[in-house]
Amino acid sequence: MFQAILATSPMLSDIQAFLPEIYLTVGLLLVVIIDLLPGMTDRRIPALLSLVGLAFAARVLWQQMSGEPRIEAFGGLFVVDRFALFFKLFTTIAVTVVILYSLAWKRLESRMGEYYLVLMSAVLGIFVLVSSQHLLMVYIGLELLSIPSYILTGYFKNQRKSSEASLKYVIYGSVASGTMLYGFSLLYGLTGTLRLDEIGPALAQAFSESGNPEATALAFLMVLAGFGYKIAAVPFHYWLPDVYQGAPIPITTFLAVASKAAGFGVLLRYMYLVYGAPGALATLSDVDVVAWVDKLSLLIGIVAAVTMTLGNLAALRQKNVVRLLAYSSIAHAGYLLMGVAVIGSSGLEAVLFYLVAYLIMTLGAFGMVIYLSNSVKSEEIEDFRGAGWKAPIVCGAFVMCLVSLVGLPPTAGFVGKWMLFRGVIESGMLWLAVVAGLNSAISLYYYFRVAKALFLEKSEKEYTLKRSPVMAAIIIGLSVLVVYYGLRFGGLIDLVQQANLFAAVQ
Amino acid sequence: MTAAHIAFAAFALITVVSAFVVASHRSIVHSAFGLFFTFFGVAGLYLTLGADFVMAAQILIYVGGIMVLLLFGVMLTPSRRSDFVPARFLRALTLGAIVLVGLLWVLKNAHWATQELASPESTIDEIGRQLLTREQYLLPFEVVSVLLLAALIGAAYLARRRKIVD
Repeated sequence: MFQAILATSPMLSDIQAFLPEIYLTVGLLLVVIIDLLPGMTDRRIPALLSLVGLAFAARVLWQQMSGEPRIEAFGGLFVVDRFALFFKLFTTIAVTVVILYSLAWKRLESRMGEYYLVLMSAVLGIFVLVSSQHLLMVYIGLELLSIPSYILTGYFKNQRKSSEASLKYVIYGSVASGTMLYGFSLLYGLTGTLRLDEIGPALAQAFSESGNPEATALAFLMVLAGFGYKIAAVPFHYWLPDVYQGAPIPITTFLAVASKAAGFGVLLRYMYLVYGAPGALATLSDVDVVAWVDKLSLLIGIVAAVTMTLGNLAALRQKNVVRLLAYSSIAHAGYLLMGVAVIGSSGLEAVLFYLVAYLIMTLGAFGMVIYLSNSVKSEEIEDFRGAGWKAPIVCGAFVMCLVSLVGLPPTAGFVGKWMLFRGVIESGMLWLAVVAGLNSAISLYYYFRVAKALFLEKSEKEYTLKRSPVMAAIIIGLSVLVVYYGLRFGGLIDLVQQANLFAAVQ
Repeated sequence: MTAAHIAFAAFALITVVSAFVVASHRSIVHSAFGLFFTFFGVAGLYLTLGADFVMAAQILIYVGGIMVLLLFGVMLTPSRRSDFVPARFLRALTLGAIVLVGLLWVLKNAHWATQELASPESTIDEIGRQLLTREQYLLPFEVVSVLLLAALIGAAYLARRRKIVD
């Protein structure tokens, strides 16, 4: 009966589409309220509440996954399709692990109520962002992700590095989002609409009628500044190393995994709706338009190549593991951008697959940093020397994640890279595949320097490694997944194909 | 040249000149006062566009609220005059000029999707209706409230005083 009532009222059916977000909001409000009650000083309570909120949201997401393939709610501003659900489930998993990491990390001891409230609102921002089909919603989602990220980065307000990182993040972030808004205003001026699904055809029509290549290109570049800053593509990457190093490590994990994936989610939907959807620019056969879209594709390809090369070269010189992983995350944004440069079906599937691999291996790598830094109180590579023999299984699992980050078989990272390479080669960008191949070879060096420090070098300091069964279980579980998806990737490819925006149309 | 053109030119001039003062003045107090006129000029620009509600909100919130808060902040913190570095100024000026010329060139050549619209009597009615209509802007309106809550609590957390240690 309840279902029947829901089906009759448009407002209620919209609310049903928005139910995961509502659970998140209720969860974060409960965190605030419970935190204010007297006697609730245990720092695990807000974490538990956040996990419960996420679990409720995940349950609805799972139901939506087997429901209608595409629901438009709130007049088309908000869309629930497999693509959005993919990113929402992805975020739910990532944030669950981030919360467990926050509980395990010994240096987060101050008040924790605000921490989880702000973290959960960032999650809500990601949910809104990947579902939005309207420039205003994109902007609000992006800010709802960014502003909590600034706050969380500066969460250690008694540490100068953390505050500095936060300030740097705010300044770069505001410039990027201002530039993006300018781009949005150009898009609105050129098409007269803010809806992404209407902008695509309107832009194509305006382009073929009056030829607006400069203005369209300028709008594209400016919007790319906003998304490029979220995914930290060159030249919008300056903030990343300092922010990753200054932020609490669980937050660094969040930024590296969830926030970056959300950036790719909105970038992919934007590229699809504005350039790749039926009736949009990439589907026209006009010679001028084809040349223009090729240039666009080439531009993203160049950004991808520069991003991965710069990230990898800078990572070579790093002595701090977090900084090394920061540059490696820039490099991975470059690999992922290869799939965006191919404005098409195979590129999108490759990006989604690689994101899953990236999620697992990056979570594993940062988990290990937390595990070790809890004992050695440092994140320098030289302080990790010899730790491998103190906890061989966990460190072995970590090395497996590194192997996957390099992209060697038999890991998920290898399959993901293979799909990305195939995508760019199919669309005739062989040079990009060559650059990416060279980059993977470079990355082998610095990832294995970490592995070498763990297993082949002797420690000068004497210390005992604190055991943490939960962290060990998470890291080992992640490394098992890395290998599992490296060998049996069929199920994951099915999932990715379902989430493919291009396939949903046919 | 109609009255609307003259009004636009006047407000645009106020905005741009005061924005230049904000960016270039060496004393932060003067910059803050410059910002006062920038906000005011922008409010005037909204008025020339027929957006009466946005203009009123701009004056009430930016000129009346944020500006006063900003001045308090500036006056209660130790401020020092920033150094004038000619090389840096020149670099910024060159970059700014390139961006300006590029933007003007692109914007002038673009074909905009324009429509002839009758100027509305008052926009408040329409804004209120759209903000609370399901198919219009109800969802962004509600989501923004969570954004404000997170920003508010986060700001309160960060502003509480703590000792800085390296």
